[in-house]
Amino acid sequence: MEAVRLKLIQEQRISDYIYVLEVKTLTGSLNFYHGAAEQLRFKHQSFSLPIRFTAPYQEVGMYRIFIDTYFLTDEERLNVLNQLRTHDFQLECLSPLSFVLQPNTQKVLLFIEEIALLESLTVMEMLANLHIDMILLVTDELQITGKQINYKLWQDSMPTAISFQNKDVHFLLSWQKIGTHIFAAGAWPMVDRLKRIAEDVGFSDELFQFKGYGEMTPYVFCVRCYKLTKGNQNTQVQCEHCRTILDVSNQYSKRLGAYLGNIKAI
Amino acid sequence: MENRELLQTKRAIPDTPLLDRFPFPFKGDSYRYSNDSFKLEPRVLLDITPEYFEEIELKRNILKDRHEHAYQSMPHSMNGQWEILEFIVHEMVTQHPHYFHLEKDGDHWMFENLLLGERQSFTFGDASTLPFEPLDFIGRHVQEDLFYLGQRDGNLYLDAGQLCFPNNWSIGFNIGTPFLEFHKPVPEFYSSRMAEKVLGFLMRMEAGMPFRRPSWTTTVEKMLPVFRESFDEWSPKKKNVTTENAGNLVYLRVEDQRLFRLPGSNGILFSLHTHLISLEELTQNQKWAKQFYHVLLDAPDYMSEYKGYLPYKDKMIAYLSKQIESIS
Repeated sequence: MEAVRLKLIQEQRISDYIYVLEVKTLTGSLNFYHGAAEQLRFKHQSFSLPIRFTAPYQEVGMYRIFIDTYFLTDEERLNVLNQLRTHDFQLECLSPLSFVLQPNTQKVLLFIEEIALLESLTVMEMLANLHIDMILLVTDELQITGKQINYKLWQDSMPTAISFQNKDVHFLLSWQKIGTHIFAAGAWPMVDRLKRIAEDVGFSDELFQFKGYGEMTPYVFCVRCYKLTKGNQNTQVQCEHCRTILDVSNQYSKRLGAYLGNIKAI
Repeated sequence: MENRELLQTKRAIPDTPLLDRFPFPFKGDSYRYSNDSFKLEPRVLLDITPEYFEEIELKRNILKDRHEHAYQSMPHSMNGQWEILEFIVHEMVTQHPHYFHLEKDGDHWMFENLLLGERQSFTFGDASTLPFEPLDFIGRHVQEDLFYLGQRDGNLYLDAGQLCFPNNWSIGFNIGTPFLEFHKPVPEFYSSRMAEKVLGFLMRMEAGMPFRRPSWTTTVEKMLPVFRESFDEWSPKKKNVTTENAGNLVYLRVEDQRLFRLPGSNGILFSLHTHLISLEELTQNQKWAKQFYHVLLDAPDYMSEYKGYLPYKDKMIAYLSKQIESIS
């Protein structure tokens, strides 16, 4: 297959580390309209960094690429920008975006966290291009300060803070109309918590999409007191609440985000 | 006075001996694992046995003492719950008019349980007019455990259930989960693609075409509530079984499971009536004793382990073998 070679048309620095690149294809076209990549490859050099792309003007071979240079040294960052400005390049390790737009989507509630900013910007771009209504939300797990992001799409849709306390999220989700989908991009604790609520109020797997970041903390459901304790399958833990010694099974509840902890046989 | 006495007589539940009504689950001598459902005839859910009064009392005590272990529901199960209440009340008053009575005035219902001498007025569809959620309410008048399975997105979910006589499982863990997840611990269930087959079968069930399947295991002591939540209380009793006492201590436990499609919500009503018979009483029917003996010999160990009787399987076999010899 012919390599897809890209050329930078325009760049914009939108935060300390995130850049938005307008690029056009010189040869070929990417396999996805919206996707992720892990490497920028120039003729003599490659850089590994988080990359997302969307195709706002797919018909003319244009892409909008978001890169996060947080993990690069200052020297590497300058080097990447120089190479981008002067050479054509390729994207390596491509995958489709974690979020797929279903045909019946009317509106998306997009829950985000800072760790998933790149992904979130790409999803926002995708939704905006397809004229899908979007509400941007951050939960009380973490705040995002929009002031530091100098990007019009972001400033037009500043996130609303919503709390997990007082069943606020519960309430918001239960009043959504048919055609509303939920996207959650953030660290696993937020995603898991949201997922449980979404399932409780009747959102199916199809209506709830997510991209979790960081370490997944497995939980154990204590069969005696019905509370959760941190722990993993096929181990033994003591319930943090009722002190029962639990034999953790491999039976997992997606709703609870936890393995079943059985009372240990004596 | 005469009329009242007549009513009392009519209300008495016939005292049929257990051996004449026990739903013995085995057809032959062999043990086979399959989705052995068959059409339910007559198409009724309720099986009112002489144990009615003691079992209703036991159920209500359990619901009082450990409600969250015995009743769980998802918020979106309410329509299904009302449909179940209507379904069961309808069967009560048409099949057992001597035991139950209903007066309807539009949505205003007056339900009367003549066996217990209880009345409840409520507005159909308005949960605030009942002392409990509809499923939790009607479940307190029947011996069966009751479940509402909601059907959506090509799956069935346990959306509500009243489970007072569990056989070592937890409704708190399983509430809201899909049927396929729910059944994960059954050995061979997944590898044999049986889960998908069973799910497909359930999803295609039609209203008015109920099914029935028996499920069996054994229980040490005459104990209907075998909660996973109190595993440490009942599990050690397995050690007490000996060849000598197995006849009195061990009970064959049969769940008479019945499945009905609910046309309104398109969910499924799943009922489960648990029957217990001691091995001693069972052996009074020699045919049953022999069949059960052969089934125990035939069942693979992983299944005996799953069903929970592996620790005293040999004791049961030895006991049954003796009983069969001594009679034949």
